[in-house]
Amino acid sequence: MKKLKSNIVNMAVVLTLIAVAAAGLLAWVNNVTSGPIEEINNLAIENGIKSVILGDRDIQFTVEQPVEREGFVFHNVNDLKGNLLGTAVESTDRNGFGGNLKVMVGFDPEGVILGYTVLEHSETPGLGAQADDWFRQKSADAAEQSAAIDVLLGAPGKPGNHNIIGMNPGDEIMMVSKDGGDVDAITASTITSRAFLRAVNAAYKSVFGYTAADGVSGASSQN
Amino acid sequence: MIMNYFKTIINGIVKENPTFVLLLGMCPTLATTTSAVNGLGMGVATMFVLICSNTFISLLKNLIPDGVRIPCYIVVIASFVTILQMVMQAYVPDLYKTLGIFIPLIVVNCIILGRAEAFAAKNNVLASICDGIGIGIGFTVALTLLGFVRELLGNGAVFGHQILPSSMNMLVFVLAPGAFITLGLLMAIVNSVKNRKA
Amino acid sequence: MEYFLIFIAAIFVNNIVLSQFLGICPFLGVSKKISTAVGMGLAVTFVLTVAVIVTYALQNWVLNPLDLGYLQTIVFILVIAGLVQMLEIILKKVSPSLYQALGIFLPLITTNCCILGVSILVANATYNAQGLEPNLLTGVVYAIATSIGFALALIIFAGIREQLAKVRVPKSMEGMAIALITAGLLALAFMGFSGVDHGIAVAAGL
Repeated sequence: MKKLKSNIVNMAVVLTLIAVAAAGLLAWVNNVTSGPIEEINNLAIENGIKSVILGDRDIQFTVEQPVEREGFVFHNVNDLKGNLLGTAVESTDRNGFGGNLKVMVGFDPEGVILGYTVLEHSETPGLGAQADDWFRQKSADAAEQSAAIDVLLGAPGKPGNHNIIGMNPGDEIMMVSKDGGDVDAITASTITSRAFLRAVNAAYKSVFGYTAADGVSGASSQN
Repeated sequence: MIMNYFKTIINGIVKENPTFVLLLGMCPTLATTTSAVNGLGMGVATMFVLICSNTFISLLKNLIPDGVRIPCYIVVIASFVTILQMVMQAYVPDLYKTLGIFIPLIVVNCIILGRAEAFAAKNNVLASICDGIGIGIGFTVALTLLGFVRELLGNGAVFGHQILPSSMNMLVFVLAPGAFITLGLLMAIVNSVKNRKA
Repeated sequence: MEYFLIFIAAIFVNNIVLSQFLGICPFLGVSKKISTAVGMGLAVTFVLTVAVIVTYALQNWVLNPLDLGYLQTIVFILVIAGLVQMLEIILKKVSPSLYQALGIFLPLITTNCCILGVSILVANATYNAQGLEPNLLTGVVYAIATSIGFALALIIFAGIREQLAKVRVPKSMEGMAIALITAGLLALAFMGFSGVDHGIAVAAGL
């Protein structure tokens, strides 16, 4: 077959045909994949609720219909007798390293953090993503980790705490230690850590109305 | 005949390696190689788009008038990128999340448009597929290698398995500057091997 | 004040080239001379600002209402390609002197991933708007700040490379290898800015 000439009719027809074919193909693929994508998102929320409220505990539970208010989504989790086990809150901070950082935090009825999970982030791959584990690690390997970076940067290291599980944002100042808080930032990712803690504080505030960090000037007041 | 196709593939991996020789597609090369697995994922994703676009462009080459050549190629490439995007979101959501914006940006990866223009538009379908496979593997190997080195030096891990104590980590290699420096050094090593051969 | 913060953050702290890795190809390719670097920087600023406005409008007023979000990539890249062509024609007619200065860079810009990248970031509202609502205005401010950051990195790098061309480097390091390592050192220097935006925010009482 000979190559088509570049006259205006040919060009317009071919380009239109290709564009239409492409759009049709994409519509079909979108149709096929939208189901699984939604399923995966729902599954992520479901697993998130389970892990942030129950952790490793093996309890039968029911989840109430999610409630949406002021940009937060609340999932109340009850045991089978209808007693409130805790509330899982989806909270987004817009000031992460590359934009949004969305976390889900579980609080017991007193406001103690039961667990958390990072739902969405746009942090440096492999670095900001550490938030997944960092804020539940015991401080022992924290001391070791910060020692490594301190050697590199020539600054003295100090062991600290960055395990937020079991803390209560109403009593403890959930801010990076640099800003006068009680939590150590992820090594070399202060911005991510600040965004993470802001999201946690905002989640607490949305349920309980206040946080201990409110009194400290700085990061948390900008929301 | 078969030898020729084989040669095309090897050519893409070694002689025309997109990263070390042609110096194309630098953005994803630097951005997504914080670990070997991420590099591998990005490489395979790009290879998929490259093979598909090479195939279709080679099939359609006589139907597409020269005047609208580039827009047509872009539509074909963008369609496959979007398909990849949706499929990854549905079936490998974690990798999709990690690679983030660099998935849609495969569209503007100069390797793909470059191969469409330089190879697929002039050769038959089978040869174009082989070219896609070769260049794709070359790109994947380079990205995985870069990711491997950065992960090892920066996090002390190999494919996610910790092998060095964390006190030996040089975090800077996972960060942005490490990407440039590691690629620069790898390139110097490739050059010195080449110089010695010559 | 927040707008100022967007500028500081996008130019120094999260520099598009040196920390976000967008627009590396022109950064490495058109950085041998300062004069070309300036031209490229200007062209990118121009195209990026227009592209962000057009793509934002398309995303929010056409694609989203029609539920066609999955056509984003394909529509954006076509719009950008068309836009570049149009700008070329308009510039040629309206301001031949500007065309003389920017003309040769325009075709290169279609495949500059920082244009498509920033357009997608702005349309999806996944950039750092420093606590402001991500809307068209913050998007445009972010786009301008980003392109200034791009131009700055490009011009500094070109300056270094002009000097570098005068020294002897080991044979296997010649060309791209030494350029990449230089870029790495530049990125390292820019890392020194990290946290500056937060400092300013605190100092300004935000």
